[in-house]
Amino acid sequence: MNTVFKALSDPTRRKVLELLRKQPMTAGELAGHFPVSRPTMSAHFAVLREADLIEPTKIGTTITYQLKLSVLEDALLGFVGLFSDSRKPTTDNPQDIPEPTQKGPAE
Amino acid sequence: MSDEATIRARQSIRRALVQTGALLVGTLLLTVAHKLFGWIDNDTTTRALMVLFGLFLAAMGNTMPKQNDGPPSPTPELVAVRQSITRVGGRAMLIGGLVWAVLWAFAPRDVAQVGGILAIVTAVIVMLVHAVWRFRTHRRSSAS
Repeated sequence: MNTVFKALSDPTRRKVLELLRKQPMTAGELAGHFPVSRPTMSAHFAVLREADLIEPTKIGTTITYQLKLSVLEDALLGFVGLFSDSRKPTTDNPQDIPEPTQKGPAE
Repeated sequence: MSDEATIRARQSIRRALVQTGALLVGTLLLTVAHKLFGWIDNDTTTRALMVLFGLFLAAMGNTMPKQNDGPPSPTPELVAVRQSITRVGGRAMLIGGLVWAVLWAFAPRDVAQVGGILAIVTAVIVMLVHAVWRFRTHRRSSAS
């Protein structure tokens, strides 16, 4: 549960989950919505995957991320969104994001 | 079957066994408490069992969107359809299960019987109608 709270504490990751609520997206499509580097986005995806909130699905040659929120986690995401300023621009906060394990484009 | 599919199948079976086991153990404990020790009366036993069943349904509904069993969807559109159906279905089943549990815990017995069944039937209908609507919309959009 701790990993879920950690994953939901970051506005970028919350925004990723909100985008995935609408439809599954590839890593590239998701990264296009944020003014952060690809390795940083990869690190965000890793945190979300570790918390079991998103799931990568291989469709053809691309990896598509889809939402994997339980109903209560979904409600928690909405609840956290109510009390946080979602309009705040996302930034690369090195203290909040683990070091990316691989270089290059996002998965 | 691929490794990933095998792992998922094992997780799914394990989860189902744990949930069913919890339900059976709860039922056994309540029956023992009623029949052997006489700690609770017949009405309380029935109500407690029904509350347990409602919570079991709610737990199933809660985890429904997380379960991705079966073969992978071939297109992103189908993934979106599946995601939408499990999210709406999960919410409906969670609410239905909680309503069932609350009614059996607090409402008069005749109200709990009718209201509980209505809640679950409504949840199933909402789930089915939404699934049919999503598949029809998907078929229409992919045909055009």
